[in-house]
Amino acid sequence: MNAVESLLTGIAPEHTAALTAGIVACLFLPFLRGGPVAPVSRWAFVLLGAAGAVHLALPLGHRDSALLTTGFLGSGLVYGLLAWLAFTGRRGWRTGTVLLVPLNLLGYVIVLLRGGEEADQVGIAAALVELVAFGLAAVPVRAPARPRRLLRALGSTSTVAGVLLTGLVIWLSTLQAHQSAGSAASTEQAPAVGHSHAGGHEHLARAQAGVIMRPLSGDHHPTSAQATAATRLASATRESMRRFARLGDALAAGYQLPITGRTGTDVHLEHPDFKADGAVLDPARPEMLVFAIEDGRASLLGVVFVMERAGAPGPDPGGPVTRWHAHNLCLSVAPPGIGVVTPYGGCPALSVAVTVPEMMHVWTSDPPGGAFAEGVEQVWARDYLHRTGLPT
Amino acid sequence: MRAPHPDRVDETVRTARGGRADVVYVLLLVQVGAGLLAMLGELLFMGGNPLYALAPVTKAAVTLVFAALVVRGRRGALIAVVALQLLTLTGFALSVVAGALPQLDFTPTLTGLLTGLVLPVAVTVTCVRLLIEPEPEPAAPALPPVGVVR
Repeated sequence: MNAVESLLTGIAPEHTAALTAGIVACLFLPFLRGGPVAPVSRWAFVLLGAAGAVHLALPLGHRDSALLTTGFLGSGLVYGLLAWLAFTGRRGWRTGTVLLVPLNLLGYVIVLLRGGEEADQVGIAAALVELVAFGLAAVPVRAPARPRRLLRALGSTSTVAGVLLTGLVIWLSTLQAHQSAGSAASTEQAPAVGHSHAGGHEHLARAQAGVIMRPLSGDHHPTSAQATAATRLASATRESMRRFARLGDALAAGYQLPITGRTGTDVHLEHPDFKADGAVLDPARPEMLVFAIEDGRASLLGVVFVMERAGAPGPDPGGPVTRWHAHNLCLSVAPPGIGVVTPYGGCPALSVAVTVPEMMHVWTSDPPGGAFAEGVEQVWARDYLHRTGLPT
Repeated sequence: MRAPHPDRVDETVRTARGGRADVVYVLLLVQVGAGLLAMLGELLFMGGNPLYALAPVTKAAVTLVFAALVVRGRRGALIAVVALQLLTLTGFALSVVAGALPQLDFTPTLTGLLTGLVLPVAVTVTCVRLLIEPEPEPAAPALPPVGVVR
């Protein structure tokens, strides 16, 4: 993927109209004549206007229920009204914004948590714009004549907390979707990943909250040849990995435990030599093994095939079934460590954001989502460990 | 009593309703929230080791202190905030450079561009404008005339 393709990957096609409306508003509104003199009101006008444009344009791409469509239009109109109040310097935009933004974001996260939609870049960016507008409205302007210290502290705290909590919920919902994406996966259908609306549409691509997946080019359903190839790959991997049923055998073969997280239900062991041996998707030489390790027992759950070069697409013999994904990580230097890029696309202080090579799980333990599920549920993995675990 | 100069009135009105410094303050609050969220991501990955909270918490605290000083019109705080933004922009540039390595890639995202590029640039530009053209300190509360009993 080139940079433009990467940028577009995280944007749901259904949200293109909303994104365009938001960009046009951001380019047009700052230059509207006769606006407010005060910078805070001017910024609020532009941000609220952009939020209104995004909300009003959302129904153009969505084919949602009448209730959701009415909600989009209603919130869009109210955002427009608040922008007008800020533009004309009338009272009320602050109170209105402080009330509307939390309500709107609450509605958004409820939809995310209920699985009605997976957050995409447009949704997260719109939330960020609304949170800045919220901050402008919630924090009273500093004036020695009226210090309003308590209100300023309250406004400041709620702004920081709003950014933190909204991001956290978006993050959890995205990671949850990534973990459980395999629930519908099998050799008959692609994993149900990507931006989706229940019973509606999905574009099977995403690039947020640390997970990057290329858009699916063909049909969601594999051809018979692709289904056969996927089954063959799963069988070959399962057969080959019998030799690593014991953790000790995997360690003796050169796989290494991670520096941190050496116990748990998804411990990833890397083989340094296999990561640079030129072999791709070789069932006998997977670059990583995934073990569940707890209470002195270990159970092999599956393998991870990893590409050598970042940005290079992995082969997909099973078509939509054998989907690869990459991770957007934060590499920090002081102290050296790894994190995940946030839904806001950021990393902690003193770290840089990088994307690692594409990878694909193949589960040899026959989990509910099938061999090509993106993740295995913790409860199931723990139960599997209790049933099949061998002493470490 | 002499009427205030028209320009002076404009400046006073602008400050009274919220000047550029107030905008910078809010943008820095958003940066602090986003930075703390990123810290949680790393803490989760690194097994909750508190050492990984040191740099992000320090940066958040320093940013909050400078944000408070910016709205008080301190020039030193403006320079410090510009330095912090340049640090953020350097991190963004390093991510792009690191993406040139064969084992790594750089993935631009809409939100990444907003928080890694647009936000720091907006803060930097606003701070530089404040350094060039400082906003007047809002009027202090009027003292009652001598001898007036309240």
